[in-house]
Amino acid sequence: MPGNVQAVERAAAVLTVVASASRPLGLADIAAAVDLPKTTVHGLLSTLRSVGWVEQDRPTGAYRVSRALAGIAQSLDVADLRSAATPWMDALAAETGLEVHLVRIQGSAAVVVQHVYRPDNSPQRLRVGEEMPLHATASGKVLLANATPEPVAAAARPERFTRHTLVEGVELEAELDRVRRDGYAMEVGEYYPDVSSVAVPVRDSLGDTAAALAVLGPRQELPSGNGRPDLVTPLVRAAGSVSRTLWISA
Amino acid sequence: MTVPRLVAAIDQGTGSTRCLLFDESAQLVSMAQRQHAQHHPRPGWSEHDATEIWANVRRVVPEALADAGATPADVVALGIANQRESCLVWDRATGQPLSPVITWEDTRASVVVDRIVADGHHDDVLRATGIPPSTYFAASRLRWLLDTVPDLEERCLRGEVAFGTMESWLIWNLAGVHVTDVTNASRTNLMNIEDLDWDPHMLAVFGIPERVLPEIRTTAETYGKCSDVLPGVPITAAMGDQQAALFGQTCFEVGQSKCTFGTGAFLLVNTGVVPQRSQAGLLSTVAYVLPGEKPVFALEGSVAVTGSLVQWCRDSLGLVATAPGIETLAASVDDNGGCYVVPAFSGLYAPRWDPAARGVIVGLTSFVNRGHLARGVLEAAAWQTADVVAAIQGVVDQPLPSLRVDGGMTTNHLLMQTVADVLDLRIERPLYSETVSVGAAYAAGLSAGVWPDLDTLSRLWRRACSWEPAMDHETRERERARWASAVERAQGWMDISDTVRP
Ligand SMILES: Nc1ncnc2c1ncn2[C@@H]1O[C@H](COP(=O)(O)OP(=O)(O)O)[C@@H](O)[C@H]1O
Repeated sequence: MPGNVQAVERAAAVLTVVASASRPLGLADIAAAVDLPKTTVHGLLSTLRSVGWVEQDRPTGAYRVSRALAGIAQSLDVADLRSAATPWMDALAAETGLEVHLVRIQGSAAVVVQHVYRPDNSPQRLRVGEEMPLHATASGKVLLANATPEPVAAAARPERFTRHTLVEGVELEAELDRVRRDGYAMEVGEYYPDVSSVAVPVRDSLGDTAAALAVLGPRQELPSGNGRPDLVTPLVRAAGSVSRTLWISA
Repeated sequence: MTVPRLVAAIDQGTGSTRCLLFDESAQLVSMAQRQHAQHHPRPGWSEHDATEIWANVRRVVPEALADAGATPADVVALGIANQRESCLVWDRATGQPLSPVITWEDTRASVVVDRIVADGHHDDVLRATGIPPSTYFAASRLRWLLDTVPDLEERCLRGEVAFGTMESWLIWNLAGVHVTDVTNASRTNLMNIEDLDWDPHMLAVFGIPERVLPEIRTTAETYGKCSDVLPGVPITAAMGDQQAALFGQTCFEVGQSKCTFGTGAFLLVNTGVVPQRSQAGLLSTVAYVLPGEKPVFALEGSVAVTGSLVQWCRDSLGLVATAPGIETLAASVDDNGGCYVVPAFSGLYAPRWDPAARGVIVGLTSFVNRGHLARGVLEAAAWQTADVVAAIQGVVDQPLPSLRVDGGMTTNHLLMQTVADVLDLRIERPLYSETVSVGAAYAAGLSAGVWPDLDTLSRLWRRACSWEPAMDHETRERERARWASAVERAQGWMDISDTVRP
């Protein structure tokens, strides 16, 4: 990646090493793992400690990731996620005029964890808790494409909901590759024939996908063709805001 | 890129001060926020530093502007919403505070209230101001300051001192005029609820020199132009935060109501152009007054402990790591397992008024686990709200059509569903839970002509979420009876008689 800040890259490398260790690590171990001089690593660690990202064990002086930071790496409480996301979902609904979903993966389903109505005061039903198919929704595809480890493939062939649903293994794989490459997923009448959707990942502080953020609307209102839809820009911005809020509140 | 015309709102709250900018379609453009220190020099005392709060205003407004890529020239109007009843005195010549901000949570002035009640003024005060004498309101705090700050009373009589609630303090600093809005004035114990002016008899009862008081103005008019922070921008609205939330929820019709679920819960219902008398623990208050129009009143019921019970579970019990986590824990069980929590931490408010009550957790068996306790906590918030609604329905004839909600706890679906279930009422949350700031912006924009009328504002309200009641009648009545029985067990625990507020 061009234009990266070296100090940040190094700090990230140090943090990754410390975070992925199963026990607190000494300075020498960390320096060896990131292949940098001990003095440099020591400077990085003191800074990380002063901002509260790493802690030092009292007796041994070994380093570990601070509790606050480790908390983010653990699975995020769905209620915390919802609380952090809601203001940004409201803003996204206001900006796009569309319904907004926040969706998490649960077993082999996509589950709606927060729902903001299409802001037109039309009668709508709260869909929080509703399970949706991973392969037939934009959110589900984002979650499938970014899942680590990959969810156990459903034994049976994916269910067909409309004539647009992708059910062939190869088709679906190609679609997920596209989602990984482009950073967003689309759904064009694949679950409900008259509904389309665009979704992007919401990343946690370690870059893992914590949820998918999606806008939904009638098929004729959303893009269906190739090319990056304009909606991706506000979606990515909102997802970034959610990530930052999670980061701050952790 | 052309910046649209913006309306700015300052929300000077109990915990923080924020600035929000809205465009002409009432969309939120940017927001900045700063917390200020909470001082508790003695038990029962609660103070803020007025200078710190003013400094925070001077920071958050430019931050919000920068975030929006805007300058003061892009701002058409400024509206202010504020923590109610918190007040201070300052020197008119130097602008320096002569006291800390004594907040609405502060009970130091109970001696003043006790004296006024002992002198037999309770009914006079209630009749004139629509609210009973209480440490909750500002007049007793001002009298306490006059009694304790050296020379203050003499200086007040010489006209050297200004008194004000937070909007007065901010407007003074922004525009150099000494005014208050009628919603804030209605929470002082000094304003006559009929003619909406300082009541001479009340000034005599509390011993307040009129010269120290700001001029009472309507909710939405131009008080002055900012010379600082937003140079040239007119300040066109001010209102107390709960009234601002009612306005932001566009509850302009009689019977429309909103409830803010935060630290405590505040339920206000629009009662129209005739003031109701405070009764059944409900307070009669001014909702808003628009220039040249009849004042609109509201009935207000509050629950002292809702979000703060969740906070207590987090900080004092370690039951959950975060406040939202209470929902996940509560959702781990199907019901309360027979466990009821009555958080009467400092007595019971509306509609029971029992200062001697203290909190209880009842119905414990070896079956009850953390999840049941968490359920009990959420249900406590819902049932306390139901008690307030029941009191309101005893005064307001028509049944509430629905309840509009806002505040931090509204992302808690289990709680909101429980509220819908126990109230047997549709609950609706609007886009942007920041209804206090929305209300201040709406009133300011209305007054500046950005929006032509209340109907236009009503049409800006957008439903973001709704919860329909799904509990059968039998279950609701059984749970109501159990809750009532739990509340009875909390009552009369302390053998004291203290002045309860409000
Ligand atoms: N999801 C939630 N579930 C339960 N309680 C919550 C939740 N989110 C916030 N709270 C509680 O709500 C309060 C904060 O709400 P907020 O509206 O920000 O408060 P205020 O404006 O009164 O300071 C805190 O007391 C917190 O414990």
